[in-house]
Amino acid sequence: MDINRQNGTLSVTGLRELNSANAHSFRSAVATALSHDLQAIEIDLSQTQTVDGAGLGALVSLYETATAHRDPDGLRLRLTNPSPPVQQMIELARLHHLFEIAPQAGSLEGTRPQ
Amino acid sequence: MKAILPLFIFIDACGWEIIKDDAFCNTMAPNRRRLDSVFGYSSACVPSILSGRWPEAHRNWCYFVYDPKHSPFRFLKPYAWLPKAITSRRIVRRWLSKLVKVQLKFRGYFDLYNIPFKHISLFDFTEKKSPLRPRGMNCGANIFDFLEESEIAYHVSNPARSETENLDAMLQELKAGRIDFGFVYWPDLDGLLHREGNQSPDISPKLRGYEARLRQLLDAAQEQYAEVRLYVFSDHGMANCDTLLDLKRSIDQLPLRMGQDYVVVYDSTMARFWFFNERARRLLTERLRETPDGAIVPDAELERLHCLFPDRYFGELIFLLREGVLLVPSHMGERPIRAMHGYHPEEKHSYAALLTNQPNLPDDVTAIPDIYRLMVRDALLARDRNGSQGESEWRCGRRVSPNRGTPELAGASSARLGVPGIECERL
Repeated sequence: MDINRQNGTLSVTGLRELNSANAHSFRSAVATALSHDLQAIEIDLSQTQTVDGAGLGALVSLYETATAHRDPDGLRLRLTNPSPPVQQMIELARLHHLFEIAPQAGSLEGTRPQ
Repeated sequence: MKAILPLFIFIDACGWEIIKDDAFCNTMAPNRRRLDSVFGYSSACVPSILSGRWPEAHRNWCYFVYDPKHSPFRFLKPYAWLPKAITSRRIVRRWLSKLVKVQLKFRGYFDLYNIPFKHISLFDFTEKKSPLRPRGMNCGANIFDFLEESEIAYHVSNPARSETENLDAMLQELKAGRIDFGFVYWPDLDGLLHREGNQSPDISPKLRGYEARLRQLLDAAQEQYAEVRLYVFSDHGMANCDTLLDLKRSIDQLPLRMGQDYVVVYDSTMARFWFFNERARRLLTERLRETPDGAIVPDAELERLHCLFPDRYFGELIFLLREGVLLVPSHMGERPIRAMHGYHPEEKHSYAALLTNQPNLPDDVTAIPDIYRLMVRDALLARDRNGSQGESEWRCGRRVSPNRGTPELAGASSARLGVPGIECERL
């Protein structure tokens, strides 16, 4: 997993799984990189094969941490390019209400949180 | 000590109009909001809350539907010879309902209500499973499926137990700090309001009693959890019924025969029709248009309310009464009842309520299916922050191994749950 920061956007890439095996390390690593001047967090799920409850929990937890003490509208949180099974998990957990779901990394198209 | 406990308290019929001028829960859950309900009865509202979807998607709407091919009640047809004076008695009906429920292995709420034995084999019953259990929906997943698939330890009330028994069971779970999600269901206010109406002097004491129980739950939870996210909510309100309408007599006067020209289910506040010929459709439609105190619900309105079923499984025509009017007699009861719900969701007493100790309730939580979203969000957060992964977990008071779903779900792809169009009952 790689975490890069550029122009106010924190990008997470190379995430092969997001489950009980790595959920805590994922959340800790991204949370450590958070700062108040961030404008966007973009998590690339293009390589993510599996997501389970622990992984979804880490995403929600990250959302809470990132938006704590600030206006959620001032921070864009995007999950990009999820595979269909991963997207179904995201929809089942209604995370599309918290995160913007973008079909491709870098694309501005996609669903805004509803 | 664990970090977070989401605690969801469902008080049936504790609608917005019931609590809006009452200080109910003001100290424990000061942030309150009026919520849109779902068109239909508890049979529609409860599954909508528990699944986050609307009746058009989960297909739990009204209990009885015309479906003679799949009717499980054919064995009751011989009882048609019994005199109505006996079969319409509530005590007889309740006793028979219990027998039928056992015989047919129904797992949800079941009541024969006032469906005549002469016609009961025309109908199927649509809530054979309990929505308060995993795999309890007619179509798709509910919150308990999600919790099980996500391996989140939870406790949910057993509707077969009393309110106090369910309170005690939840208190035990909280004191043990075993769970990461709690769901309590209290139905007694609904019964009180049905019997005595929405101005009953017994309402305030009932609410004070609920407050005392909530305080017990909060105190117990705060011993084991650093943060308790409390949500108190309802499915609908309750309207007093001051006008009675005998629609059945009016319909029976038409030169049509029930079962041959048409079939109708008289719910308490609506009548649902199926037609077998154009003459029946025309005559019944004309009669309903002449009927005061109600109106045929247009398809566009049903669609707006997310209750339009393209296969017309729940009825080809829906006639709905205005608030405060009750069908008597109906297939739900032979005699009047003081108050009822199941009117248009935009009628004054239909609105539900949500009260919480969370200061930042999302703006887009506006209707009761949105409560599901709060449940999932907070359950996932509790799973993450409580760090219960890899440990043995408790669900419904029984210990299970981690990384294993319920037997029914074993092997099922969690990604399939809740996806429209899959894993549906025949409905």
